[in-house]
This record gives sequence, C-alpha cells and structure tokens, in this order.
Amino acid sequence: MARYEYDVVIIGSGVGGLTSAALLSKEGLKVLVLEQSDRIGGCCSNYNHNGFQPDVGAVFVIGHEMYYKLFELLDLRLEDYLDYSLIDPVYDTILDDGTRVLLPRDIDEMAEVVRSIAPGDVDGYYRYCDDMKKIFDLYLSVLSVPMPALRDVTKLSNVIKMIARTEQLPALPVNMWLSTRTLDKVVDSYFKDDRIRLMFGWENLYAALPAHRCTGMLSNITYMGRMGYYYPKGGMISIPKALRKIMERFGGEIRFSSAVEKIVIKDGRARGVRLEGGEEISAKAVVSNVHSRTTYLDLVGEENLPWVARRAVKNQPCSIPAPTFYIGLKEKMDSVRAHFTVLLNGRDKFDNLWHEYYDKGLLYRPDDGAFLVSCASHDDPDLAPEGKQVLSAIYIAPYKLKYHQWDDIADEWAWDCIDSLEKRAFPGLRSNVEWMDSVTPTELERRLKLPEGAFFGLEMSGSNMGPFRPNYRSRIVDSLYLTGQCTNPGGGVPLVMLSGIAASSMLVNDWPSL
Amino acid sequence: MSKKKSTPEEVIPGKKSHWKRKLFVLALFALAGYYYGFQLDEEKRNRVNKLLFEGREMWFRLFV
Repeated sequence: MARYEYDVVIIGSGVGGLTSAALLSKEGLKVLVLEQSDRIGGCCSNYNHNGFQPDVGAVFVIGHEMYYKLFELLDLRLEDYLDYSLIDPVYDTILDDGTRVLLPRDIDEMAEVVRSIAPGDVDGYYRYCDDMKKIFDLYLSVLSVPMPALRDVTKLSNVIKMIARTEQLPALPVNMWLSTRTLDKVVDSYFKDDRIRLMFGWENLYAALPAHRCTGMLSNITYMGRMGYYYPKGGMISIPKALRKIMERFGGEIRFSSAVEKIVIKDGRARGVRLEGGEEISAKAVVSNVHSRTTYLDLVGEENLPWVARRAVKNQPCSIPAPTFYIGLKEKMDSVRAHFTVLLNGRDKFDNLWHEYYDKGLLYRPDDGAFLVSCASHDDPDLAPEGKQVLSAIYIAPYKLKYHQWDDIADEWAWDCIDSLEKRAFPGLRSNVEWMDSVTPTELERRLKLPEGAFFGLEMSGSNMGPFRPNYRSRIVDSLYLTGQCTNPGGGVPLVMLSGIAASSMLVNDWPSL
Repeated sequence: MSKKKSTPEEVIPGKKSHWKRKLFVLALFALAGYYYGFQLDEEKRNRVNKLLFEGREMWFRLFV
C-alpha cells in the first residue's frame, strides 16, 4: 500500500509549477498540481470577458531559445505545442515632445530611426549593438550545448561545461563593464541625446527596478528586441496550456479551486498540504510555486521558522507591482499601429517617477506617467471579438498610496489614464471603450494571491539575487522546493522556466533520500 | 626594582591614549558622516538608506 497519495504536490500552476510538473511527471513521479483559481498560468495567463482576452502579466516572449532547451529535456518538439509569431515593429514609441516612431526589429532600419531623431547617436548605437552582440553570441553558444539528463542539469561540472565557451573571451570585458555599472550609466555612455537614452533605457521596467538601481547587464534587453520578441498564437496563456498538456500526457494531474491553507510538516519535512476546506493530501515532497513570503509566512507558518529566516523573509523587498487596466474596444483603431505602444515622458520626469512619486506613495498626473500598451489582438485577432480590439495598459504605481485607497479610486484613476492615452496616442479612445477593468496593485494581490501585487516576485537587485534569493531546495524545511519568480534567476517567463528546471533537477537528485 | 615598577606605568598609559585616538578619529568620521547625511537631498538620502538597509538585511537571506 502506498504511504503517500502523491509523490509530489505542486502548489500553484504558474509557469514554474507547470514546468516542474511536466518534468517530474516525465521522470515517472506521481504529480498533483493544486491551483487556487479556475485558470492556469498565474502571472502568465489571461481571462475572457465576452470574447476580450487580454494577457495577465507576461505580454511577450523574449529569449525564446530557452524554451527549446526545456522541450529538449522533455524529448518533445516545441513546434508541436507552440506557434510563435515575430513582433515587428517592436514598439510604437511616443515621446513627450510629440515624436512618434515605430521601432523596427532590423538593426540597420533601427539605425535610421536613431538618425532621424539624433544623428550624432548613430555611431553610439552601432557601438552598443557590437557590444551587445558579443553577449548575445555567448548566450546562443551556451544554449547550443546539448541538455544533459534532468538529474545532471544542476551538477557543477555540467554548469561549467555549459558556460566554458570560447565566446566568453570577447564577451568578458563587456560583461565586466556592464556588471559594474548601473543601467542609466551604461546607456549614457553610448548615447548623448536624452530622447534616445530614454528609448534605450526604459526596459529596466521588465526587471521592475529603476535604472539607477538596475545592473547594466539589462541594457541587453533592448538588443534582444532587435533579435526578436515573439507572441504565441492564442496569447501568452498558450505557454502554460502547453505545459499542462505535456504534464497530463505524462500522467500528471491538476485540481482547480483548491487553495492550500498549510504545508503539512512532519519531523521537519514537508509531507503534503492541507486545503482550505480541511482536506489533507499527503506527498513525499512539496514544490511551491507561490511567492516565497506566502510560502514561508503563511503556508509553512511563522511558528516553524527560525528567527533568522523569519526576519529574512519579512524584510526581503518585493518588486514593483504592475497595475494594469484592460480595455475592450468597440472597433479597431488605426492609431494602434503595433503590438506594443510605449508612452514615455521626458527623461527627467521618467527618472523622477521613482523618488517623487513611487517612493513616497503618491500618484502622478496621468499625463506625466509612462505606459506600456499591449494589444494582444494585434498579432492574434482571435483574442478579441470580430472587428474589435483588446488593449492592456501597464503603468508604474506604488502598492500603498499615502492619501488614497486603491479600491476607492481604481476606476476614476483608470478613466483619467484613458483620457491621457486618448490625448497622447489614441484619438477617440474613450468613446470607443466597450469594457474596462481596472486592476490595481491591491486587486492583483487578491486575484493572484501575490503579495503587494508584485508580478516579478522579489526585487531583482544585487542583494536579492544569487545566494540572497530563496533557494530552490528550502534551507528551512526538508522535502520543500521552491520555483517561480521568487527564486533564481528571477522574474520573466524563460527565467521562471529555468527555476522550474533547477528545482526539479534537485528534487530528482534528492529523491532516494526523501 | 625601579625598572619593574616603571614598565607597567609606561605601557598602560600609552595603550589608553592609543585607543582614545582611535575612538576620537571614529567619532570624527561618524560626525562627518552624520553631517554629510544631512547635506544630501531627499532622493540621495533615500538611496543611501535603502543601501544601508539592504547591506544589513541581505546576510539573513543566506539562511532561506
């Protein structure tokens, strides 16, 4: 008679959880995924309102080469599960002086855009591309190494084999230079014009940090846009859907509307979970794909944590939230010219957002704000009813407001923002809105059970990365493993996939002793 | 006899003054830092505070 109902219980069906579920199921383990809501995906999901299906969280695929590595581990072909289309132009960028340019993917076409705005920065642009290419070549070279068996992925010898590439040599000086500077300093060294600096220096928001706290390594993201951002057919939820399909093909199970109340700990080991209704499910190991703060303070329980860990978990800062309002349009608008429209204010204003507003818990005037507007139906018309369009507008705002409660001002604030978008980018927007849903940081927290509505989990600064980020294999509770954006390497779909691979590899290695 | 008596008397006061000097220099640095901190604008002060907070707390994270 089996001692445990399942070999592994996975809490949360985000990309990290489903990656682990697929890999562990393939290894022959009996896996159960528990999802608190009725949808998979977590921060890489969507929802459906009368045919409008905006993305929730992740809005595009970057570094799609990494996805192939996961499928290599699964012995499957990615093309059988996912269908990507290339996003080109990458952005429709609107600056505060009224400049509006489509940023193409092609490097030379992009140089012409730079020339049209600041001819003096073209040389700097090519210098930037040359440097970033060295890093990108290294990245491709590392990924060209065949994947070992899952249990060997995290072995030091394999990691060294993967990163010891000849491409390291040309990339080394650039990497060292970038890693010892902040993003704003790096961008300033290539470009002189403030508008160009802003165009190449705002994507730090994907790491959820202001440019002055962000490592210069992130300047590579803009170059990766030149190498290709992709969008999967069916929206970003296609990725977790594919992983679920694979997991189920290997015998894994998933249960919806099953919120976990506690991780059951016996003799210092995680031995299953107790659901909110009181049902207990026993398992030999538990993988948590929820925020590390929730995992340790709520699910494990403060009483089971030594004071050092309690202090560490409580004081580890969350990344910024990514509040969004979703809009369903009655008719398609010609002014939506690309999958992404970026509205940037002046560079001073953009930098000031952090210390003048964000740090103080204040809301800026929408006209002074920066927005990333994503149109999911631009590349996949099926994501909106026929003849209509769906938009998601993501902006920066603090979790706690000094003078307001988010719930009181959610709609009013969103409509003010819509008026600003109408003025700056999309004439006639307000009257074209059929449906609007304002998802503030507190609403994000409720819907996704994300502390502080932090899409990227924990802050991705130097003091919260590497050994300072929660370990895949819990150092506090045996048989408990963590995956997701709160573990290394951090937030973002491909990085979360890597965390799922690493956690699964460790679990498989530990399996005989669990 | 006189040598035995004089040795500790000569060494101990010397040690005391050495530590006093160190303390004095430390206090001077602390005062300078305090003064410098008040001269910073709010943004820079926030950045320094954040760095100090992270520098203190990051080591606890090694245990999670």
